[in-house]
Amino acid sequence: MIWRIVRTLFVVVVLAGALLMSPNLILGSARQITAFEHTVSAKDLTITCAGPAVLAGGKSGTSVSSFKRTGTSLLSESYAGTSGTTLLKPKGTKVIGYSNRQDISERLKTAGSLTVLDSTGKVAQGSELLTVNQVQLVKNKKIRGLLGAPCLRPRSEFWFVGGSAAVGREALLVLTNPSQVDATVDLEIYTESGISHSAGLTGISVAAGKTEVLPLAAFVFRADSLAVHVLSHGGSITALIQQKAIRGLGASGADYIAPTIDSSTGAVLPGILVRGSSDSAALRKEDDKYSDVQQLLRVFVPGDKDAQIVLQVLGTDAKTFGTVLSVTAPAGKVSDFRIKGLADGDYVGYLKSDVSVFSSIRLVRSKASSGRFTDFSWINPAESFITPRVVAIPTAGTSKLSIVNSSDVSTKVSVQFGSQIIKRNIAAGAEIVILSPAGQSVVITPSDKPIYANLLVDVTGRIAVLPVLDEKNIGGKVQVSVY
Amino acid sequence: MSLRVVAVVVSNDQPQYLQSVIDALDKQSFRIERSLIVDSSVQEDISEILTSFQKASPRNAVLKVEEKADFAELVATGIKQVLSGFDSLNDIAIWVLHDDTIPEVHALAELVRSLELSPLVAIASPKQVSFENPKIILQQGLTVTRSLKPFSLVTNELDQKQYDSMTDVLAVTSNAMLIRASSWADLGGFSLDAPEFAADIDLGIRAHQLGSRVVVVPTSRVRHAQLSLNGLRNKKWLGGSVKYAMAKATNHLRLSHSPLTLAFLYWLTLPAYSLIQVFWLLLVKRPDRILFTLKANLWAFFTVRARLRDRHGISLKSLKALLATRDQVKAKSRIAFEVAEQKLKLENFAVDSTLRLNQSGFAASGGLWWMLALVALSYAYLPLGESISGGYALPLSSNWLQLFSNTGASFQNIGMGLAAPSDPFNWLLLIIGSITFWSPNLALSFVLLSAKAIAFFGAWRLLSLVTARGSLRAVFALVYALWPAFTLSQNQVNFPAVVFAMALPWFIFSLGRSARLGITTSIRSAEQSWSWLAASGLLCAVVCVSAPSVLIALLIIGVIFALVVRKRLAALSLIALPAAALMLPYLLYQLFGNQSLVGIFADPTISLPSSQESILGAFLGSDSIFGWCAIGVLGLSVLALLSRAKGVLLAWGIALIAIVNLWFIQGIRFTAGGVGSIFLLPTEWVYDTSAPAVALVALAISVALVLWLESITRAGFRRFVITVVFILVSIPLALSSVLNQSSASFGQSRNLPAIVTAEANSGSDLRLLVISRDQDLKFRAELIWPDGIKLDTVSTAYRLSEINAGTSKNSTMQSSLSNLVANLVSANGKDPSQALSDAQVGFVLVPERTGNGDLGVALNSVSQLDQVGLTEFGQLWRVKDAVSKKQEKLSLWSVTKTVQLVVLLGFVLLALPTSRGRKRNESLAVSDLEPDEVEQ
Repeated sequence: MIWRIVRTLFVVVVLAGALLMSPNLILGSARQITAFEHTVSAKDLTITCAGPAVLAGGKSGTSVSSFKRTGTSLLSESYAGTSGTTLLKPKGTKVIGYSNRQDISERLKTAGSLTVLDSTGKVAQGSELLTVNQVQLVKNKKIRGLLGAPCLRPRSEFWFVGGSAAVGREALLVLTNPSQVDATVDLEIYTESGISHSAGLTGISVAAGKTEVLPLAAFVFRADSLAVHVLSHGGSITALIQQKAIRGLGASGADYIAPTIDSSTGAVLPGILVRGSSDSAALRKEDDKYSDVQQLLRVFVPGDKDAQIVLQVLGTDAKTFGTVLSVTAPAGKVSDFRIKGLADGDYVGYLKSDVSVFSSIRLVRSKASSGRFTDFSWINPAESFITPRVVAIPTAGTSKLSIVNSSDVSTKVSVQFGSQIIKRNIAAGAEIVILSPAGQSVVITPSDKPIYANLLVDVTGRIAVLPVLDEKNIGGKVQVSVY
Repeated sequence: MSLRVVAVVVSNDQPQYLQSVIDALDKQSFRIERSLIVDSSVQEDISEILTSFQKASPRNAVLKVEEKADFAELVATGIKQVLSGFDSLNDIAIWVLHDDTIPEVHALAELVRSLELSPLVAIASPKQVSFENPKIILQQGLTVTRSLKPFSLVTNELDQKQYDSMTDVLAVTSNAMLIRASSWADLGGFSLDAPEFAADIDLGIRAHQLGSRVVVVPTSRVRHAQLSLNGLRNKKWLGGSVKYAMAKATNHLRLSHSPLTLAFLYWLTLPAYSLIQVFWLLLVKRPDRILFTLKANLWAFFTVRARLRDRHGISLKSLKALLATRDQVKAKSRIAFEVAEQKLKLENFAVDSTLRLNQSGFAASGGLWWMLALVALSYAYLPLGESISGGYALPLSSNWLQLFSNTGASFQNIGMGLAAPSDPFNWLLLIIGSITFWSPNLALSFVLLSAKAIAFFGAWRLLSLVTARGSLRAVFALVYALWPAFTLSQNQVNFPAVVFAMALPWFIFSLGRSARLGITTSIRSAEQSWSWLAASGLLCAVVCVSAPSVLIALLIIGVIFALVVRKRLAALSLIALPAAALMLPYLLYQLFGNQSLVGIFADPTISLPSSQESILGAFLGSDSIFGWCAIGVLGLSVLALLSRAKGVLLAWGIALIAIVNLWFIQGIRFTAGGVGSIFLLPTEWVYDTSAPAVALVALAISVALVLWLESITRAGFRRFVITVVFILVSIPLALSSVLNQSSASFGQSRNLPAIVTAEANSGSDLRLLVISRDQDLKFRAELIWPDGIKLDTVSTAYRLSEINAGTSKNSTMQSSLSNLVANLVSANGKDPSQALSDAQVGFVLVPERTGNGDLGVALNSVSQLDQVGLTEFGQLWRVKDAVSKKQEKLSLWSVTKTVQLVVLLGFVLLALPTSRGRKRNESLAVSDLEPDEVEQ
């Protein structure tokens, strides 16, 4: 009997140990795959700007299929081509590279592209070579607000999280095909009700060198919350959503919604610079048409599992306290969550989710006294970067650069305006906001930790938030595994 | 005229027996004129006997000859010696005796009387009885069957004087044969070219040719020890084993006594006939006879001149009456079968004295209904399309010949190409696919549908070795069939893991049967033993090739098995032969070609992204709720260790070995990539599935639980446990298997764009280059050959090779392709024509996946590519001016494959249950294909 008890106890101990405490060790490995590394020259970098604001309705203002441009947009270009490179501008003019950074401003009446012609094929691409953005303050009775967007490298896929097709809101998808190949575009539009199955979402033709404008309301009538997935076949394209708001009889607020980064379980949203919060509150109280004048988190959850989301909005100093949102977003749908209680101040948003989500924050700014207005801008999660990035500062208005260190240790960052270099320490998880001189390029150089940055442009109180991008074609050291 | 008899005793190193012969000769009631001992002994201790024999009488003499002389030479020399000095041979008879014979007192007198009574009788032979038990007739006359096989008319039968009326026979054994000296002289003695057993018959036939008679004299009896036949002599008179000697004798008689045309044809077709004989011997479960049969055939084939020298133009037609009749052959077979069965029963009884129980059959105990229910639970796998896809699934080659070609192949037509053995698991795919050879994928789908049912049946049979209670067998077989890990494998369409779980209980069951373990045995004959052994071998191959991850556990189980059956180890070790034949080339390649020791444990699947699994996770499977029911069974089975039931500790020992194996294998990470991986998510490493090890644990603890419950004397408690297990384990696990979603779906078997498949079907050798983006500047590419991505083209050897890992320094094509991909994705305008041509790329495909959109844009700018359009597998481009060459198909055959196929076929034939084993005593006669069925 003793023997039977002993053997039973032995098996119990071994079994319990195996089930509950067995360590997951790596006892052996087969051969690991090693990719081949090749240094290849990239194709010439082309950056395409969407051009000035589009007015729906044509000349008569009533045609649903006619669009016309209004005004001009201000292009801010930062170009630092070396000798052997030439910048070919939209109007056909050329700028010869001579290894110094050149900050150029010009007006654009329609969509246009800038291309760096590299005869050597060895120049490293990215924002250090060329970065361009566009802003346009529109004060038309049909559209009012600051429209700001980065000029983009043409590609085949975009995600947009922002915009609305509700009553009084207009979302226009602006598709530009700068390539020499016709493009066929498929759309997936998600709303608060899920995916749209409207006719006409696929096979949208965008001819080479042309721009197509699509009112999203044609596909998702009266949808409050939009997330749009654009897929191009054939030629590469750029895409933006032009969003405007009509409050009562007048236009009040407009923005270009820029493409966002891929879905993820964590996102950093710098540049939530809240101003005129009391004015916004007053407007909301005054009239129902201003009911949406408030900061807002928008989330789209791809897949079939609901997302448990926590948004932590942190202030940059002791006086701004921020807030925390803890919400559940249903799968396959677009959800909006108001961010209440944010007083004036500079903030950064940290979003955590248990499943990958797309997200963005709508920032509003209002003035309730004389010359009252309200404007908004959609802030996308920023890309992290560890290598230098350049952003061109528009000559108009005031621009503030928000830089975030999301890591749990402090880091240093170097910010260069022209010949002036500022070195700043960013505490763990903190954000710094730097006023940037108009018309100059800013070179942001991280030290040891990846950082995130957005640029907020304020022109007479109207706002636009521009991402700090690093547009480049595939080139340089490319790793390829071949089976 | 009265005869005078001279005796010739052929002696070789048997002093004790020889003394008995000498004594017997002395005591004969008939006077012997001369006695000569022809001695070829090498031992010294016989000299004394010979000297004493010689001194005893002047009529006695001894002739020493060299040891290597054969029997016919010794007899001829002796007779020549003993007859010297006689003026006339007419009244002389020669009595030839072996040294292991004791003639009864009147034996010679009776023989002499028969010669004296009939002048036509040339040869007379006594009744040969057992040395130890004279009541047993060992032999009484020889003949041949109609196919000229030597046939003993009486063998090992109790002497009830039932054969005492027998007189004329075709031939007699040389032992104690009395032959007229004149006849001996006329016949020229024994043929020196004939093998031992044929020589006697040949002499008889020739005697008949001269118009003489050959008779047996039942009243004359000699005791014969048959030392040569029993293998008790140092000197190999027979030139090998008895069976070999018999086979040689048969061949000799056929070549020397058949009509010339027939003999020539026989000789000419001997190689093909040998092959048929091998197949037949396997089918009738006599593999022990294969080697000597082949040896005898080779001997006959290459010594045909000597056989032909023995041709005397004799027609056996005239001797038809003396040949063995069909009834005689049948009767003899029946007796042999009964003796063998009796012997086996006695052996079985000696091995295990456990009470043999009468069990209710599977169908009678409702097993078929359970199977039907399990098939219903697997309704998701009802083949609703041409092929199954999802998870680990890939279609099989839709052409059976292609499937055969990819099986056992020595070259892999995948990726960069590799001279390496294909996965042994391909043999299983071939066998499964051959069931519906017109559409191999169909059978594969049915495997998933019936997997649980077959596993249940197997577990039921296995448990029948330890219990006769139907409820116990059904409930615990259900637990095994519904185990979460098994359900997970089924849901993931992991064919190797599913096949392993199906085959494992059958394998252990057949092992039990082979070793005659368990409370019941159905083995009634040696043939059935061979059947179970062969079935075990085949099932061993199945479990080994489908789950190399548990090779360590299987090896340890093999060692335990060897210890249990150590007395029959030699035969039972054959069980490992099919597995060894299928796996050895592959294992050697992994060890020496890929230099990867851990590689031998890699699952034969595609590299579906997987992660390291904890032991708890492995037991829970994909169901973290109902999976706990399985853990409950595990806990319950620990209680079995407290019981006195035999075998519980062994079962738990196996379970613990499997758990250690599971932990070990989850600690090994394997190379990703390989066939079809381009369409999977990128992953750095992949891990083996835990399912096979868990299945082994599940089976072992089920056996432990059944052993425990079987030993419980309180029926109420046993019923309570069975009910609890059924309600709290079987039902929830059944629910879980329905609720857990399967990744399988049915559709077309084509998994590449139609235009690419059509091009390949037209015989073009153009390949498809698939490119995908993993990260910003990190890409993967796979070169797909015209055969496409098929389950039978998956190669673990390739996946673990230097080429797949990208570390081979010899693959210029791989380096060139990677450079080509880098240039294509960067769309930098470099001309890719040469690289595309070198790799025979005809199409380029970019799968639809996040991050791949820009690749499409990049490829659109490559002027050497024409966009075909968007297909269901991604964007496709055709290479301009791609020159198609004729496909170089894999050879259907290779040396390795032939050997593997022969071994497999041999075991299949051996495993096939034949009616011979069961009904031999009723109807089947000895086949001509068994040259040595009857011993002389």
